[in-house]
Amino acid sequence: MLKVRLALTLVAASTILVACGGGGGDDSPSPNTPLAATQAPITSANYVAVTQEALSSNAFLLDATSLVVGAQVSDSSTLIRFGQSQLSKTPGRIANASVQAVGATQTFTEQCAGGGTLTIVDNDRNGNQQADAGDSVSLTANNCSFDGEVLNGQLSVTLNSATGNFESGYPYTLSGVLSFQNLTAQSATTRVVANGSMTMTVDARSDFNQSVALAIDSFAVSRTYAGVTSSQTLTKYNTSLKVSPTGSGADWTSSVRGILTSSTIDSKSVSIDTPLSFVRSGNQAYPASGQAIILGAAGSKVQVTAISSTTVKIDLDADGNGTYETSVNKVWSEIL
Amino acid sequence: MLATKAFGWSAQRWAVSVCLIVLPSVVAAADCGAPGLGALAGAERSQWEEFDAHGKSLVREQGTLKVVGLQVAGQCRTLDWSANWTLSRGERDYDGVTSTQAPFQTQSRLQAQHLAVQAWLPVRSGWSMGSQLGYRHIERDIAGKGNVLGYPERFAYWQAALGARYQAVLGARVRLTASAWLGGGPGGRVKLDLPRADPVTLNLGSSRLLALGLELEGGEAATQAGWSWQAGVSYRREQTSAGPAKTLVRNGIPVGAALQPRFVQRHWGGTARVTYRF
Repeated sequence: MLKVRLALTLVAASTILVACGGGGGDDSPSPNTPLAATQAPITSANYVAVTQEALSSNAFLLDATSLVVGAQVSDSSTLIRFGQSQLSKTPGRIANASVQAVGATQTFTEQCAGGGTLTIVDNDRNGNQQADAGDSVSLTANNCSFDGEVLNGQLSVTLNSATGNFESGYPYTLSGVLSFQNLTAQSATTRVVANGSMTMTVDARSDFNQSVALAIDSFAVSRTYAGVTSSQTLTKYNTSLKVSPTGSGADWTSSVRGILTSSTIDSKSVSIDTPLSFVRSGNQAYPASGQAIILGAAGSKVQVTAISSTTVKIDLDADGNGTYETSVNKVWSEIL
Repeated sequence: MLATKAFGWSAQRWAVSVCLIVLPSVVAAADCGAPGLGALAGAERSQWEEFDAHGKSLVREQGTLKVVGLQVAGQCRTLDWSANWTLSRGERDYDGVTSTQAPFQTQSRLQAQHLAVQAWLPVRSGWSMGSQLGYRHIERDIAGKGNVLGYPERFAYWQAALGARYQAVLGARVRLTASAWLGGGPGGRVKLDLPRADPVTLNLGSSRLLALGLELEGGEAATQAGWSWQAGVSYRREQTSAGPAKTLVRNGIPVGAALQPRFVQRHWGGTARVTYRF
């Protein structure tokens, strides 16, 4: 269980990488493309903001950094962390379920640390008390305190597979579908509502040799920050992170491919792809290499290139003629 | 950041002008004696704690700050007055949590300036009633560590207080002064420069203040020209209510929200001061 936590923590600790990445392990050359009518034009007036929104589109999926508490600052990664934590707990829940009639389900209530409850329905489909494909857990959060926020709504976890030395060490693999149904996280400053599903796959061989992939058909998040509401929908969105051992620690390699629809670009869409995966050294906050392409309406395009672990170059081809006519270098921290 | 400093310093310069130039001039024209100019140095134990809306402690900081300051003080026919500026600097140990609620320890670097004008009105033998107006500017830089990002905060707020003072003569050239202040102030502001958002200014809630002091003074009497010395200990407790949440943006896009939670400051200090009275 400890190792599972480590793996999922790797995911949680990789936000920036995946936020910059794309591809989901898919090597096909062309990204998904939204319908032309819904594509957002990328212009010299909005290309930096579009870049930020596109690169940050999965920052709430995989968040690399956190802040010290001085002011109380909230972001929207809580629900994903909750989903990850519940996926890791699912094999244990199945294994610890009491023997029952095949196909029956059992319901119990679990106290959340800090207050509230989780109503949990286990479904060990064949009643063998082992984590098999198709076994599932449905959770209903009732003012459940998690990471300083209050959760309400539903999450279901359906296992695809769970193999290996899962309980006590490496290696192991874990795959499951997380389905969010109006799962809401409320804090003093922020309210986030998630709907949709994603498949998470973890392949863990050691602390510094792991990979995590998320495959999303459609996942929508609505955020209200101090009264200001925005929304994002990820469609056909695949993202992955691979942690590989190096002499000095580990390299974090991430990629992404998918479609982002955001209220900040008039509820229109752009596609994002990483022809060159982003690579970050474990002792750096941002990737030093890698490239992303963001496509908008009428062939408008942004190329994002990591110059160093502190600087990123953003090139704009607004008219889609194949020439980047506008370029700017930004500090990574201004974008992610 | 520049705007933050500009805001802090412009207000302080204005207050310094009032305290150290205008006020003595006004006092000089109001049948008052020549003022005395003092310099002080000392140290204080500083504690800072933040709480969420349910009263749960989020952060606790403790450390020792060095204190220096200047004072202009004098006596008029009907009241005593003083204007003070103090600067406290140092580091505190930070023991708290990250924004993802993970336990976290680091340091914060502090620089706090306080400007205050106060007046005492004698009411009976040894006893005086006082009033005070103060402005406090605190620079708090929380250090990051590993993947946890730190950031600077710049607090600014005003406070007013009413006080009571008792002075006892202990000898020909020695006297003891005990004082107490009770007050508060409207909500101030804190400017944040968060790593993943544009700089933002948050409103603070209102504050409450309790301050106690005990000071031993020797040397020339308050009505005589020449040198005198003072040595004192003090305790100050401030409680500031949580402020409202504000949206964080970057490149015009909402990326989060922040508020300054309720925080309590406690300071125990000792200072020594020398004063020359003209």
